[in-house]
Amino acid sequence: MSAMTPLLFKAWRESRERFLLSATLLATICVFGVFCRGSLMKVFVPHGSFAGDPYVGYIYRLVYDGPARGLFIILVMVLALGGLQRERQHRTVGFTLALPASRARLVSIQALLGLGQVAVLAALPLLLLAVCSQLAHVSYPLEQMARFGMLWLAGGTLFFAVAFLSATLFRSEYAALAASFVFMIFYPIAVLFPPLNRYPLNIHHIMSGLAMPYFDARHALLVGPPPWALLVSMTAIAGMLIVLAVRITRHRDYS
Amino acid sequence: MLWYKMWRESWIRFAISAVALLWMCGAVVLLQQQVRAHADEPLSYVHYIWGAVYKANVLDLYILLVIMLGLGGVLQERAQGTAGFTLSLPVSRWRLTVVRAAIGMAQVAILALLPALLISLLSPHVGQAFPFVRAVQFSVLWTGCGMVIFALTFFFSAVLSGAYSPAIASVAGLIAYSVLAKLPQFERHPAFDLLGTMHGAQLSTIDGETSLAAFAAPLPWLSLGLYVLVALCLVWVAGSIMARRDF
Repeated sequence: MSAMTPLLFKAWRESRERFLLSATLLATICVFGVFCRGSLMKVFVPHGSFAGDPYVGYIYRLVYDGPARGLFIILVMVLALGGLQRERQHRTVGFTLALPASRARLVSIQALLGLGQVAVLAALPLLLLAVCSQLAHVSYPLEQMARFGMLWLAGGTLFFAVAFLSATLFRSEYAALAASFVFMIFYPIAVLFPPLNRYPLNIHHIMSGLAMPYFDARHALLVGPPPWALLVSMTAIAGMLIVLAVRITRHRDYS
Repeated sequence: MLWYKMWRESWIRFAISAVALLWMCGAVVLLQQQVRAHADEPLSYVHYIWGAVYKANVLDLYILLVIMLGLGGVLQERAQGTAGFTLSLPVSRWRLTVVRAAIGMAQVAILALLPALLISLLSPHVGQAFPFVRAVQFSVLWTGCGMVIFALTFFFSAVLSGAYSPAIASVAGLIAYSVLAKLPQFERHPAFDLLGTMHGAQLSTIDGETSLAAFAAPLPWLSLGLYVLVALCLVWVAGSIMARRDF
């Protein structure tokens, strides 16, 4: 057993309740969305809203640009919280810091596990919608789900990184969560200011495809090649934020 | 002293919330010309403020911040090892619950009032005006509905022990509730649509631009009364649970 495994297990034990709750909630939306579509389609896709398949438009409005995406972002940010600041409040930080592992390693492993959980959550709609749609005798293109999953993963990683950094900076766990929520809502407004408004910087839009050149709004389908440059940039920024959080943790006094 | 304790426990969250709301509203007002110029259809200032503040981004932020304010309590203190100190104070558990709820609801009301004050004060600086009476009406709607959201999180904080579980449960509950409220079966009961009420769906003249600028339409007092009642019931249930719980 490598030295990494016990630390991963520790991080998993600390976050599993949140992760399982998150996965259950996302799964509930997807499963109920497919099987209760009779009533919900009237709400989400009033007659004539989309030119293409109404079910495709419905899944887009419910999951990829709807309540499920909002919930996904919030859940991802909640998954990023915790860490040594929280342990200081719970007075267990001494035990954790006494472990024969560097602070950088402790925090990196927590981030690594969190990113893995984000990836699972981003892939969850793909798995569930594919299975449930088949059981309900309707279909949603697999390729579309995979592409949206990729957008969710990149966007989710960035939101995770912001909350992770916030959890490193704030002593109060609730303040860290509040700051993350503020970022989530404030950011789309901030990118309306010049010169930012000239670039496609709204993460919410990038994740849903809304007003993006790679999205056909009339048919609610992603078109053309995936926005690799955007995805790579978002992942790189997320990486930098996590590295910053690790550096802050290394130099912080937790006494 | 108990009030001071509860205030100290939540003031950072409240301060972050207030600053964030003011920032958001300020940005919305200062950006008005730019956003309205890029709108698909001509958009009056009053309608723009309603769309950006009372119907979309700022409303979403307010809801999330109210959820934040509802978190905490003795159950969460247990994880930090301070529950024993709080419970050993010479006050009943009921009093602890009531004071925490009262402080939280006051904060919810103050947060609801901030957009009204800032928008009314800042609008003349960009050569525009938003009717103050209408802004205060929205503050009343936000306070009434915000109390339910606060009480929901308050209730979950008394039931779920995880630090973040009450927040997740509240967000999920609100999403489920907002979807349910839009179903055809509930469409005939506008009071059921909490989020709709918050953005003025029950102000019957909201869609007409002239009426938005005109003197305010009557508030849905019956719905607001119902929401306050529901909020108080949730706080009462949370208090009962806390009074009986073994810490």
